[in-house]
Amino acid sequence: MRQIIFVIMGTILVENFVLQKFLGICPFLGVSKKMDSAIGMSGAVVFVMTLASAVTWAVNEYILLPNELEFLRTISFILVVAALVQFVEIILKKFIKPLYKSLGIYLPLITTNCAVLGVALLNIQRTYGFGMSVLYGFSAGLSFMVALILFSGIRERLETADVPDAFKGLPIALVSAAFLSLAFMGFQGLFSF
Amino acid sequence: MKKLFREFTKGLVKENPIFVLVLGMCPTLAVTTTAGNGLGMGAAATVVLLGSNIVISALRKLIPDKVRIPAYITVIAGFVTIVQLLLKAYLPDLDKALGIFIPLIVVNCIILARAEMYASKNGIAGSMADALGMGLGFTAALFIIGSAREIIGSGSFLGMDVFAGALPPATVFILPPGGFLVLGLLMALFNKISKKNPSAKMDCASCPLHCGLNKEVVE
Amino acid sequence: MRDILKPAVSLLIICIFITFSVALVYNVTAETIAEREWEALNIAMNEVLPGGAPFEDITEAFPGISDSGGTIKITGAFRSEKGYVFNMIAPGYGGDVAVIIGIDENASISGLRLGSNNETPSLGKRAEEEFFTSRFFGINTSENIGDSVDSISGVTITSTAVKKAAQKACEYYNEYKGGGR
Repeated sequence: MRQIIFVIMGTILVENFVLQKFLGICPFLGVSKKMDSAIGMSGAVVFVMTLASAVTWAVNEYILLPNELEFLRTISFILVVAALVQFVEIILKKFIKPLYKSLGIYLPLITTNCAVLGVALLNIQRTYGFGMSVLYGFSAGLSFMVALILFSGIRERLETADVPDAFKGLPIALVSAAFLSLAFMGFQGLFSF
Repeated sequence: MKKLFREFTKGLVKENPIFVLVLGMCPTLAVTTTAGNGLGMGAAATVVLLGSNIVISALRKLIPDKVRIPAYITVIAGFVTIVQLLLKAYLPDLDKALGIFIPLIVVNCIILARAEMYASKNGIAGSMADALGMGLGFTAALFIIGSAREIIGSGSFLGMDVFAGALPPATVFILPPGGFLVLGLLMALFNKISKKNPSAKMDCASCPLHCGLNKEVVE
Repeated sequence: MRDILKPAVSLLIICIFITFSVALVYNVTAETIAEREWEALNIAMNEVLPGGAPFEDITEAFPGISDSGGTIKITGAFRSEKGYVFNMIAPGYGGDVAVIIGIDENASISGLRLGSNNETPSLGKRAEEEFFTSRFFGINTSENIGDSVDSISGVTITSTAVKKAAQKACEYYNEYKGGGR
């Protein structure tokens, strides 16, 4: 239990996927203008990342490794993620309508979210077992959620701020992200797990 | 010929993938801790972009519209794996420095965006010019960001000492916050010089998969 | 039916073609990659155990290689005429720190080097420098490294990670030797 909490908190605070590892920057900058869309998007990401971790782990363990096909890892993972996203979209649309309404429009955006492929590759690189992979995928998704929601809060305020013309839009957003990232660096060394 | 040249040059400044189109932000921020890494990442992405643009342009009439995105992703992933294997074999140090961001070129929006917006609609020669221009623009931007971060953050340039110990390096610039800060400042500088601010109203929308969606999500 | 079949078949053909090309490149480069990796490993091992080459891979004699639960793990073990080299990983400040430890025939540490890590530059990364790694030189495997080696002030977590990795390597060494092998 202690270990599980350490992994979750460590991934969110110490090695935050967006702010420390630079994974998933595109949606971080693109979908952070409004709090509502930030929550919807990150909910979908948590969901897909957890699922993708489980599926890619199985693909690696039961298909790639026994056949010595490690060099096909990137190709197979991205196709699995793409197919998984489509599949989840269809399932949600068919059976869980309310969830589809809140997450559905964000799902197609996720295929090209490098955090999803990133977490799948990191699981393999770090030789995690199945349980650990799923846990890491889940906490990585949460770390994306925390960063995105915090950042969208900042950007909603930036909307009304008076910034120099050249800084309007992304430049000032990036500068604010720098300070958010700096703040998260303060958590480093919080846990040694 | 003149048209090809125009396709080539547009990627350098007018449609610079990083400063204007704002694509491929993850590697832009992650690997630019040194100018050398920036060059290496840019070169790797350019090779993938060139390969995928050529193949997709050649196959553009054969790929059914319905499955075009998965087909593009497969082609791109294939080239990425080839580049990764070649780097491992012949430039192992660079492979180590870029790490997980080499396989992640697959999901780099620049490559999919060029496939969808250019290569799938134009001939091979034009697609090559487009790929080289975009790749060079990406590389140049990465090099500039990498140089700024390396010089300020570790006091060296391409591994050579610059200040000879006269100025202590500001380490924060090669740490994650420095990446965001330098990119933000350079983007503002780019806007100031070009007297335009494309990013004021645009988002990640150039990603083909993001386009239509982003508008309704963001606005 | 045609509408479903045609895209599926063309996608399949593209997949087969791409996989074929990747496999081709893989076969061409596989040997070079393995050589490079072995070369790089040998250079690192020669630094921690001078004159140690050639090395023999004895990793299989150690349990817990793929054990993902523990904090300090052994990722490789090598034997040569001069002694042993252990590749370890230990949790540091920003993820795992790889440590390579050489132990000579007199059961003392002949060298230590840090491998890949994500430690903070000018803080944790300083543990890579010689002023710290040389502190391990000549320590006997029966000693308690926690007491024998001073940590870098202000870099406690990384220092501890390296020290624990070295300690564990010594334990593995003693166990291996004690087992009569």
